[in-house]
Amino acid sequence: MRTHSQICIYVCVCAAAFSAGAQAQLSAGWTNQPGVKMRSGFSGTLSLKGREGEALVPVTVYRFSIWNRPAVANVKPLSTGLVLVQFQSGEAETVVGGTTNRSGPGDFLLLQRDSSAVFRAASETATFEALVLGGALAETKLPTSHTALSHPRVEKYQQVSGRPLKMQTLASRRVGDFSLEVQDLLVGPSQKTSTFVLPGASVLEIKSGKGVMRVDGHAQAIQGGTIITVKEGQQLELRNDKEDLGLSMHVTIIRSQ
Amino acid sequence: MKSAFYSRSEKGVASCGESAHAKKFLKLNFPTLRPHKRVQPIPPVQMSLLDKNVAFRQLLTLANVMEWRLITLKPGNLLDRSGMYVMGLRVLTRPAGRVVSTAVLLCMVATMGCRHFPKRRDPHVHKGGPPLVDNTNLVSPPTLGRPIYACSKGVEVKDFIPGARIDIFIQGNPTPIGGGVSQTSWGQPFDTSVTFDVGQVVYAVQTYEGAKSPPSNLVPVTSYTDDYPSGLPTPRITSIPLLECGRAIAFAGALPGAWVSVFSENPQAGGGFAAPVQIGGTDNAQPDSSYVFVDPAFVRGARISLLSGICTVTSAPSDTVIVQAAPPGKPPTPKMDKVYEGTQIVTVWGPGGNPHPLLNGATIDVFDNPMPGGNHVGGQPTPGGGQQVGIDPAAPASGNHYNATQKLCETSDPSSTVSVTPCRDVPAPIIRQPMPGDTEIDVTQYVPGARITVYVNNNEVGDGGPPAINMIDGSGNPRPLADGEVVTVVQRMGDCKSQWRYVITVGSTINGTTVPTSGDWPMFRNGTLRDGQQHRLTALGDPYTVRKLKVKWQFPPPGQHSVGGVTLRGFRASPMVHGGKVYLGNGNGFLYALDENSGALLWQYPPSGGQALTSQFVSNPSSYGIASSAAFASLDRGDLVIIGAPDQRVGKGLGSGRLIALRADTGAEFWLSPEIAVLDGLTPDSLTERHEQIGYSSPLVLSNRVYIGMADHGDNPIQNGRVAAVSLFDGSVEAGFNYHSTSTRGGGIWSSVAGASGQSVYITTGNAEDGNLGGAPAVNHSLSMLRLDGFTGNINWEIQPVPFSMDNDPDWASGVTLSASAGGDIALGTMKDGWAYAVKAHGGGLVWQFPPTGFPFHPGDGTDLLHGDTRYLIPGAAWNDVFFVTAAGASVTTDQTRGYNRVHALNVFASEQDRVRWVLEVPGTSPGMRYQLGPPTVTQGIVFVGTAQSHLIAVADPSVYPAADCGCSNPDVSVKDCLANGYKLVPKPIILLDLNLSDPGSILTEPVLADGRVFVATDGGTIYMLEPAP
Repeated sequence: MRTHSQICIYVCVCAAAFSAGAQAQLSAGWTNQPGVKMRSGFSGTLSLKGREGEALVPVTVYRFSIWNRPAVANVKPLSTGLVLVQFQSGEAETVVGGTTNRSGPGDFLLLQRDSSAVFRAASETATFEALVLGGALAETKLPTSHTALSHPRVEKYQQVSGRPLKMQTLASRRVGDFSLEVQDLLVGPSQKTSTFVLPGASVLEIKSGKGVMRVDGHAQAIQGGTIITVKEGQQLELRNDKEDLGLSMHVTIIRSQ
Repeated sequence: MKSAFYSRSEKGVASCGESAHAKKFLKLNFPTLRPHKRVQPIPPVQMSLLDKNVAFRQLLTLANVMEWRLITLKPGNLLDRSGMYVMGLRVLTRPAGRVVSTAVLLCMVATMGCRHFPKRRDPHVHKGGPPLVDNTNLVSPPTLGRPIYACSKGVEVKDFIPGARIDIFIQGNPTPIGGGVSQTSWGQPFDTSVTFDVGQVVYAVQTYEGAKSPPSNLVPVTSYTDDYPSGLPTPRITSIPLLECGRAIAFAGALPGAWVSVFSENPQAGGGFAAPVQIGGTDNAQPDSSYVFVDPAFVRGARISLLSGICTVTSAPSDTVIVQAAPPGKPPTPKMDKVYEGTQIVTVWGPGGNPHPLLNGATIDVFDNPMPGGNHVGGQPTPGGGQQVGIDPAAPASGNHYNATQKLCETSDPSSTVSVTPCRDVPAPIIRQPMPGDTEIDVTQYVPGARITVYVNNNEVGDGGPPAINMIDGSGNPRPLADGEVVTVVQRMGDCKSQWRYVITVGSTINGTTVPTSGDWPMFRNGTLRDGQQHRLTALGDPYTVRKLKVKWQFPPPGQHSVGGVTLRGFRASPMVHGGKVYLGNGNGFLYALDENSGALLWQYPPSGGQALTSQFVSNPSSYGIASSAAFASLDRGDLVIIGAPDQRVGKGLGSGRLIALRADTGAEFWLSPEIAVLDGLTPDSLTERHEQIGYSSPLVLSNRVYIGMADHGDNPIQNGRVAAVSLFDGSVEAGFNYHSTSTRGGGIWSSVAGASGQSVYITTGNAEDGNLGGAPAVNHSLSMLRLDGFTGNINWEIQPVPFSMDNDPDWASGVTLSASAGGDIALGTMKDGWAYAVKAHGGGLVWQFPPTGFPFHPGDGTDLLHGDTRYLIPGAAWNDVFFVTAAGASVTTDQTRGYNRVHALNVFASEQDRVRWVLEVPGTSPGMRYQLGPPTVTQGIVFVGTAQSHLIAVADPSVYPAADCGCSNPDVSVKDCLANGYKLVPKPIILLDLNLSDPGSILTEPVLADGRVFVATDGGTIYMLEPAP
């Protein structure tokens, strides 16, 4: 129940090390740091359509929780990718390039390569997710080394017939040669969608519910915790088999400009 | 659930409608509108999967079991799965051979596993008993629906004897202005010959077999603009889909007494639609009567819409709905519930029976002595769901068999025939636990169309019908119940009177715990159950009175910010009201006793000039001074006020926590406990010092003991959670009681201990991860709800939704709300991550999780980062079978902050799909921002809550006052998209009061509802007393 930070934790978002080999090491290392936990990871590839054909972008998802407690051992900053951080719970104070921001649930932070970001829990704990984009996106330069983004929390889901309910969590924004946006999608209890296409290559994280996702006709069981990447232009269908719970998912969408 | 035996598990919340619920009785020859009430199926019995041997051993080791006998054996597909069979066991006792229990084992041959369904007889149900003294001259007053709006020409009446004559009067005029014969099994609209005007006062009387009731409640006629200042709500079609050949349509959003018209625009051959034609409507819509018939029937492809209006004002048209094709072929065969002797109402469901719905718009026909050749004895169109249908003649004692059909464009096959259940097998009605002071009996299960008679100590005091029976004395005045009185209830249809009785003693059912019988508020959440409810009927139960609440006094008076030279800090403790005094601790370390009528300071503790009850270790507002609400206790030697507070006179003098009992009349010390919460150093994060504190935990006075929970100073560092018990007589520590949450650190008790007599105490605990970096402690009761033995501290049961590995600090800080509900005693609470839980109070099994994402959580389930320091910290309130709580709600997995400014009303006993009763986005609050709301309190269905903006808000549950509008059960989905996406329309409760206290601080404490007044303490350091203006 601590509400006043007295001692901070310093955590670095270390994108370059998020290759498969380093992941385990990093994961183990961070997991062992007092006050910092990396809960789970995901590694996959996004296929983007560009002017020069298809580009493969390694994508990795990390989930962190940090505690408001004495400083932990220093973590070497290694950053060679574009990192999209979304804060999940608690309040966090971030220091990037000398600029301090306070972020809460739903807020985003976009970090370019080599950004040395320091996170500290401004409440008892703070949790956040880091989606690390490598490949062509790794070299993307932002107008500044980072961009703090927040979204309004008053809007409702929007419906387009046959598609899942959609809430635009992060409006589409240009990132170098690409655009990036985040949507929350929702398929209501016992509902299914028609075939639809997302506006780019996407990472879909299932947050709740249980059902089936068809990607170009191929069925895959999904439930809370499932993470799937889909190529740009792939045909999707969603079915929620839960009668009492929405099938919700967090979708990060990237496309070439 | 007995097939024709209905459960009204909620107190009649006016539904914004969907078709999957039973509709009320309607005769074809009856005027247009009839009640449309949701009738919830009883949730299935919680099943426990037992190994066969265990099941048998359990049965055979029952005390005094003499033998068991196999009474049935049915192989085959009972559960639609091969390899299963059913065994019925009769367990007999020694020596009398009396049957004490029956049980059914459904055994899967392949695994030899068994499911054990103990069939327990309700201990309140008895066949026969002492003679009951009837009073043929006694007829209960009916209840007149409210509001009644000017310009309307009709009212709704409830609680009558089916078949009674109802007359409507305007006060001062002895001539009835309307009425008729009651025929339904709930509420019924009655038209009037006059149009109402503002200022008139209306009442109803029922007459049955020559006996006339006293007048009903008085309802003043008001303007609809009082409730809907921004105009009429838009009506909504709720029986979606509308089907071709359908003849009924359900709606929501019409005001009581308003007119509603149904229009059809039929498709034209060349495209487009023909001009709208009215095909149905009513001049007297009522909340419980929200569907009408249409003629002609719906045409495929037609566009259907509604209009509503009152006075000269017409609503905006509803959204249109296109009529869908009827399902091909014959409609599915319906199923009838049991038909009881003497009944004039039968109930028909879709295939498979309750809760499977009939087709929307289908016409239901009921026949006796099956077709062909049967007689048509009743029928009507239904908007869907289950349908009660009037039959004429009433079901005879024997000989008749009934079946039913449903018809859209084609007619279904007739249902299986149902023979009449004889009078001897008519069950007892079931009522909600009566409480001291109650003047009405709420009936939760009854045979549709039944007349309900109520006896207190075997003498008749009420004769009416569902949903409630108003009790009267010999003079016709309301007859309040007293603690310990015995209530007996029977039901009858025609000449058939149930031989089974429901017999129950007035008081709480949670192990016999009594609740406050005065209008006082003697402890945090007004009782050991911590349900935040004022059970006593006071002026605050009247929606009209609530609107008149004004500040009468404030303390300190305006312009002052100190008392005796000591500046007030914010109030984090809530007021306690007893015996004409208000007791309240402040963050400055002083407890103040005020005169309830005037707000004058009577005494303070410590006395002026004394050492304030503060701590030298300050982490957050819980540790500034007194954050613990006071509790009242009565001893032979005098009345006491007990607080938990830091006290630098004890321990190392740094502000260890202790319990302090003061004389209620003078503030003199009665006893001081020893050091309870140890503070022996001030070094932040020291692992060698103890940094315990009482903080927000309020004393629980139970069975001559005082319990208090302990946590720490903002996890700095985290301490081991503990509960301490001291003697109520002298404050000495009860050494035999011992509870620690973990074997190391963690599991702080941040909230007030709840309790029930029989010496059970209930707690919730905080996180442990913060103090156990090496892994989970060997003993780990963190993040849990637990029931403890009040004598020893031993754990009776525990649930732990979030495992240690996912602990990111989702403390269970709300504490427990105990609810003596129709379906059993339930322990309710919300974790800091926003999920809410209902647990069996006695056995500890999980009843539900809201939202039901999965229990318990496990790594990789998609919620890994969601069990963190989100701020759902406050307790909820319980009323009847509803839990009012600030919880994250449907969007918990995508945006946990969405619920910060919302009050969720959750149906405790309902299916998961019907869990959400309503959701209120509290006006004036800031979405997504924490600390927007204080703990809600409730009385008679009116919910009070304070806001961060220092507003006091009061809203009416739609069962006690019509809703403002419709919302979606997922409040992040628009009403327009709600039904089509699998969610349900739910009412939006009307706001009765939004009073700006213009205080610089937030209201983080509970609005105390005592003696018809509201007491509110703010973070700005002021307490306000509000009472209704004359």
